[in-house]
Amino acid sequence: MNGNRTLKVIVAALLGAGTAAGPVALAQEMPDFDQWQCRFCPFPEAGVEGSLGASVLHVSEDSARFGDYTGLDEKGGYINADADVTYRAEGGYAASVDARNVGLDSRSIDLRAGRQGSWVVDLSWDELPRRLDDSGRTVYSGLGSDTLSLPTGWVRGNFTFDLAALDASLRDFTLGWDRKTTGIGVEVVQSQRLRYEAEWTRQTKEGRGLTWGNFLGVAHDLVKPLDYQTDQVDAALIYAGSGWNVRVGYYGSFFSNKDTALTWDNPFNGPDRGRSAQAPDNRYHQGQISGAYRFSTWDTSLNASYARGRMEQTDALLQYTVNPAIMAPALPLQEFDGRADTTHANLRLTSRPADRLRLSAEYRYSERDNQSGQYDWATVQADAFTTLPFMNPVYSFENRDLSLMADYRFSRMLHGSAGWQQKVRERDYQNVDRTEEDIFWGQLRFRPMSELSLSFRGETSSRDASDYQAIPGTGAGAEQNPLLRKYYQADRDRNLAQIQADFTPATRVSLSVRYERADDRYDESLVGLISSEYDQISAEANLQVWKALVMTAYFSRDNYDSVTVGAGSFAVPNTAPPNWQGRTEDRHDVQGVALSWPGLVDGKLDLRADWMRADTTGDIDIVNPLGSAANPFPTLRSKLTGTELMADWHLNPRWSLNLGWRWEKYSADDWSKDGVGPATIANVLTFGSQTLDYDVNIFLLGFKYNFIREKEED
Amino acid sequence: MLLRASVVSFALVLLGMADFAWAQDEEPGFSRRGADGCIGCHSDWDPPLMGIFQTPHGSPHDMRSPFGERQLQCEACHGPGAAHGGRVRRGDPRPPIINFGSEAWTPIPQQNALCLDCHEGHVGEQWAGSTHDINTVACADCHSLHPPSDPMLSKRTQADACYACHANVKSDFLKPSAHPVRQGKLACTDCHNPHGSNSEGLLVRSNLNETCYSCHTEKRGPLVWEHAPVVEDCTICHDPHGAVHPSMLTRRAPLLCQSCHTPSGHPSVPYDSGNLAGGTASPFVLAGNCLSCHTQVHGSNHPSGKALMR
Repeated sequence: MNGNRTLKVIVAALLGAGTAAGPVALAQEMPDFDQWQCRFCPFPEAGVEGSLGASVLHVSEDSARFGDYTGLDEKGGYINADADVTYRAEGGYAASVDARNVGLDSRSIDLRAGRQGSWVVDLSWDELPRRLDDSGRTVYSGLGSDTLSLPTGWVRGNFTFDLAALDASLRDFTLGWDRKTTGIGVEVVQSQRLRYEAEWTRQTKEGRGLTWGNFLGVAHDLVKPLDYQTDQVDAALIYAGSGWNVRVGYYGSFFSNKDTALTWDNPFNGPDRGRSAQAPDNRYHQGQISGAYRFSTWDTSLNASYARGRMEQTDALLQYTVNPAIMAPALPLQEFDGRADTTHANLRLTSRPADRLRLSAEYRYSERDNQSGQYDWATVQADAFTTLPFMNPVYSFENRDLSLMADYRFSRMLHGSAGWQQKVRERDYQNVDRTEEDIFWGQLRFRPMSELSLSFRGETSSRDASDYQAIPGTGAGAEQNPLLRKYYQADRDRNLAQIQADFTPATRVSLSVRYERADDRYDESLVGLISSEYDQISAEANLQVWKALVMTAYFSRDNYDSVTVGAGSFAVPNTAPPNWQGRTEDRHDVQGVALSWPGLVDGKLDLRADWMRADTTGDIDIVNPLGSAANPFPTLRSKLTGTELMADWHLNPRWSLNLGWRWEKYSADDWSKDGVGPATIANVLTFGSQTLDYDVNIFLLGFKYNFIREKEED
Repeated sequence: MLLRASVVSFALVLLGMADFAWAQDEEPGFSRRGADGCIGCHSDWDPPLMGIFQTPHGSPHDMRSPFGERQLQCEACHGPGAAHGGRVRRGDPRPPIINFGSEAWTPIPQQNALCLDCHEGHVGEQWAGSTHDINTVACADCHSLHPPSDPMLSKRTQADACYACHANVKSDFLKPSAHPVRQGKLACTDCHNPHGSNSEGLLVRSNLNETCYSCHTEKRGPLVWEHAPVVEDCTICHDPHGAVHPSMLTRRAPLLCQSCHTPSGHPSVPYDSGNLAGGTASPFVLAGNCLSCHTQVHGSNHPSGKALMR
């Protein structure tokens, strides 16, 4: 048996102070299993175990934002239920249900049945409610369909203030969707070494999403229909030998969208209607093989994987325009022949040539080879006019990473590691064909005493880009400023430092402090992002205040700063020198305290209390501006405060009552929304959506029933 | 003199010259009664240990379980326990057994090797040399085997276990725009494989974008008109752990867009507070800003979608 052999080797290694095990260790005698009766082992008896819970909740106000992901978006009462129940039968068979939030739109239910070590079948159901906005108003009807219509009697104009029927036509609506996932999974264990896994999931996403429509010089907020369905299949065969394993798998993804286009009436003067494409159906197949082999020499392991896939998209194409006044030419093809082949592989070798030394090397390869067709498209811009034909670029990428690492344990106190990594990125049809980045890093872990551990990590990297080349556009007006360097493919120097200290002066107290800083410099970029900085400090303290009363307090502050340089010009093409800067400073502060006090009143009462606060600010300042642009933006702000009190009263071992109160308040200042009504922007008809502030109280009263055996009750 | 001696001693310890290991003269044997002997002392242990019998590790029906037929029960993981459970002279410490976690005396590589021996086919394929392996994370640092349920295996409790080391990520999920980890609807393991992966960042799929496509399948394409950074790497614009700005964007539009787009006219010129609702009410700053016209920022399959407007 593998496990017994490894156990012997490890015991021998421990006896030998960490040296490799010799054959003598393997001579260890196995026990007399006839004496190992396990008579006192409390194996679960056949029957039901676990718990059921039910509760009533009251939510104090309507709020889309609070209801986002939770399903508690409407004021009023909710009935909820949870279950974590297992039925065990004789012979190791069992069935279980794990259900959460059954009464809410965020419910999840997981049913499992099988015999451990032989087979397991898993059925799952999960709902994820998105509640994006309940503050907007629109003039369109047909929300959620593929056609949006203006009301009869609509008066068009050149600007929003010309839209005479606007105020009378606006009506409230909500944005959001429900994502529902159904799944079935099977695991079959054929032997100790061989097993099979297969899982199929169907995910639907139905509702209304935010999009926009536009014509020449005007735009409008729109609702797009969401009626997506995705089937995904994961299947694998896994064989685990003694010191090696192999996995052969297949992954398939099949996406379909019932709405291939969105057509809408133009509320402004101009073409009557516009039409945009929605996400087309797509398919992806991927075959995978991966495995590992452990050599007996130097504790060496070899890991490898290879995956080859193909993504396809062959949806029927829309016409160039729905504007009958434009005589657009015929499409070059009726269904797009979109196809991209993917290849991913890695090879990793790790070895321990000495007891204290560990070495690792890895090569990683990733490719997206876009084989889609390229055609000259006689594009009709905004359903208004025809542009020069232009060929679609087909973006392909090839990534090659190589890394080397050494790790040395100087002693139980001191541990050091260092490494080098090279990342090569190659692209097609872009300004930069190739970037190459070299990263050097080092890390020290120091534990001068059992109560204190310190960790330091430093990293420096330099990314070099190949020569910048211009990409052809459809006209001089589309040409980029030649001084621009796009930050994700530009020369960059990055320095990163991390420090962490963990202090446990006593078993009742622990303190952890962490600081991280990263600086990016794009010194070769004259226009574009030229620098970004990030730092974070966080601390967490745990204190056993008294008996079972435990307190946790935490704090963190994140800062993100960046500088973008612009070259503003109305001359065509834009060859202006740098003439403005945009500086951003974002800050995110989090603080909180959590108290847990179980076992009060002779073990009958458990108390929990949480308080949390998360504040965000964002400052944007434009400096050295063109023309009249000189004023910094107002600070973007958000404040989230939450308090939760929970009490569980154990009436007896089976029954307990739960009482809870949760308060959460959110407020925000966002200049992109504040004061923006449907007609505020002269050439954009918006929903007039506002920040979704809320101040919600939730009261909970519930019970929990534990399935326990009579002897446990005693 | 005393100080010098202390420094020398300290340096010796630091460099490992005075490193030690538990050793004993005789090879330990397995206990005489197996788990029955262990339970005699440990049944009321704090923290409780008996919950393991409600878990897969405590199942007598699984041939692979430590409590399966002719398996080594407690000693399958904790090693031969004859010496530990035997008679000890008064005042002498009881010989230790193999134990688990970062604070355990058993070296972590040996702990993990024990786990891997049974879980080779579950986690072994990419574990060796992975980030957590290199950083000497013990399996027991994350997993709790003795309680009836392992918090790491539940969506609702998993993240707290990860935050113990990844404290910086905890605050990310409290940002105004974030994936629903705080709400318990998404677990770290929905995107990451902590046992190793063939992709950067321990992601569950072959690379970052393919991981994102698991839920955002509509963005996979390939499309007629692609937006190059979108198909290269979602994190060029988004921070998947959460962001200060809407849609988990790393920076606020229009500045984010202006980092890469500088054609003459509106993309190239600066905007400030004079363009807000109380001023000129510019479409380039308010409401959907750049997206009001360039609606298909993730790519378009429309024949006229070159400028991502259809």
